[in-house]
Amino acid sequence: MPSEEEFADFAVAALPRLLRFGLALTGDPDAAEDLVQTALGRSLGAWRLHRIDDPQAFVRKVMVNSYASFYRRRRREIATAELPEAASVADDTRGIDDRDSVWRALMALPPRQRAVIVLRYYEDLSERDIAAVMATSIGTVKSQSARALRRLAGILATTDPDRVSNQRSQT
Amino acid sequence: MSDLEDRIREALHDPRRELPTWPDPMPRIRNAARRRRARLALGALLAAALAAAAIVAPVLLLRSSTGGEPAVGTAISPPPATSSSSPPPAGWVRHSAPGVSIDTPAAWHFNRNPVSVQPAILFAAGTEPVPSGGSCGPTAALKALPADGAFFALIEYGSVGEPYTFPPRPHRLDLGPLGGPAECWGVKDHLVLFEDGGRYFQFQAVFGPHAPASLRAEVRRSLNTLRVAPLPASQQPDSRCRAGQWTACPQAAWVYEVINQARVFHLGHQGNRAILGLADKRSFALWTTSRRPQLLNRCRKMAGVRVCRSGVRLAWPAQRIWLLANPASPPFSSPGTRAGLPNGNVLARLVKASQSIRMVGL
Repeated sequence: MPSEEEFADFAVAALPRLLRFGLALTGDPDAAEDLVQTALGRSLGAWRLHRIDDPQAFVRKVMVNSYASFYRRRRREIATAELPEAASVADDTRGIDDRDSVWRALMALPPRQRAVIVLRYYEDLSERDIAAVMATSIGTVKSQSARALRRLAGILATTDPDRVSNQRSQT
Repeated sequence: MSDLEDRIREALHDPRRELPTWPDPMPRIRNAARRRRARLALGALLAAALAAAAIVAPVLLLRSSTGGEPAVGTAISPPPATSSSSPPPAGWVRHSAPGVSIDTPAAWHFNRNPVSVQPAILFAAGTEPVPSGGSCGPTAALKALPADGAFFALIEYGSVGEPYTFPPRPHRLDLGPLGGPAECWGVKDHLVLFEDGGRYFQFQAVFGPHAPASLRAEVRRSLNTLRVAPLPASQQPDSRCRAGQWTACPQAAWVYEVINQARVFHLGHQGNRAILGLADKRSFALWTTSRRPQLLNRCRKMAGVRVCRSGVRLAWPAQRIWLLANPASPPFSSPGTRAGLPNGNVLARLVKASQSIRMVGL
């Protein structure tokens, strides 16, 4: 029988990754914390009722669904001012700039497209698993993913024309 | 693996974006679980109240038609914060939803639960039947919208971290320009954000491609019949503003409009004290004060207004108050941007917008 202590152990172990996943979804540290807290609270309820086999997958699913609801209607972006100062030693400024550009472009995607991208490239889920998490079809996942990548490429091309022209000159 | 996919992976795994973990997560998680149980219980209670109202309202109507007390408003809604309690215009009917009511032409349709999402859609209405259904937005209702029809919905935000993004409800609400497509709705719509009675609302309206102008006017008229039951006085923006939460003050809503018109990117807010903007790779804080700042010097005219330095700040008068700008705090700078005062065209746009946008609610 699952105990609350077991859930606590799971929460402590999974928290860093969940917070990071929440940040990738929302782009906002406060919203990420709210999202994780909400999802874990809901999962605890289900845990007590013995309705969870895989807590990690369950929490992830709750987060994606809650996030889509929370953010579904706002056209404007939630503040994403959090850009920590410290960079790793190996980073050059160009690399940081690029990651920031890509991050900002990700934050400009509609919620469901962003969720697909985060599940695919951060959580490394297959299209089938993403479809299960998002309660949608594999075809929808594929089309959302393709649309998101096209849109990202478009945004990055406008914000970083140098890189695009460099790539073109290399090919 | 394409270059773009590599870049996405790198951005998503960027170690600079780790969030601090919680030392002991269980108290927070238990609180969240408790709040969820309370919400579910409240929902059940509301459903019971609605069911009771469905029984009581016809009885009240019957009484009013036979000489009893007039049935003004609804059986479940508290007194409205806005608009009068006058009966709906001839040929119109009054509908109620949790804490609000609205009048529409009698032939229109009304649905209190077009889709269960958060934040809650309090109601949806339209010229045609409004079916329930959808996972993210009111998809079923939007699908049913005919080419000459109209559909609209009112969404309420339970908690708002940036209250200034919802301006105080003006004397007359307009539908606003066509924008979008809105997230989850997938169609272009008119969107209005406003605060009324301490509550934060989003109104969205969609028209079929052949909807006549008169229909837009009717939707606008309907929107302006919206009555809102206010929150307790202590939760009203005025009280929070007086208690020192500047971001809840009408001035903050006005500054937010100013930065939007000046095409300054909204970065967020600095505690309760200032709104943060980003333009031309510079991040800065903006706020207002009713007192003239001291030590104004190095003044210059910009868009007909004297803009001065006050120490490290910029200050200029606007509509009987002062607007101040300060370089943003360190977390709001990065290799791509830096904390700095707005200058050049950005400053000119801010000054111009601060003179042209009327402040509501002071």
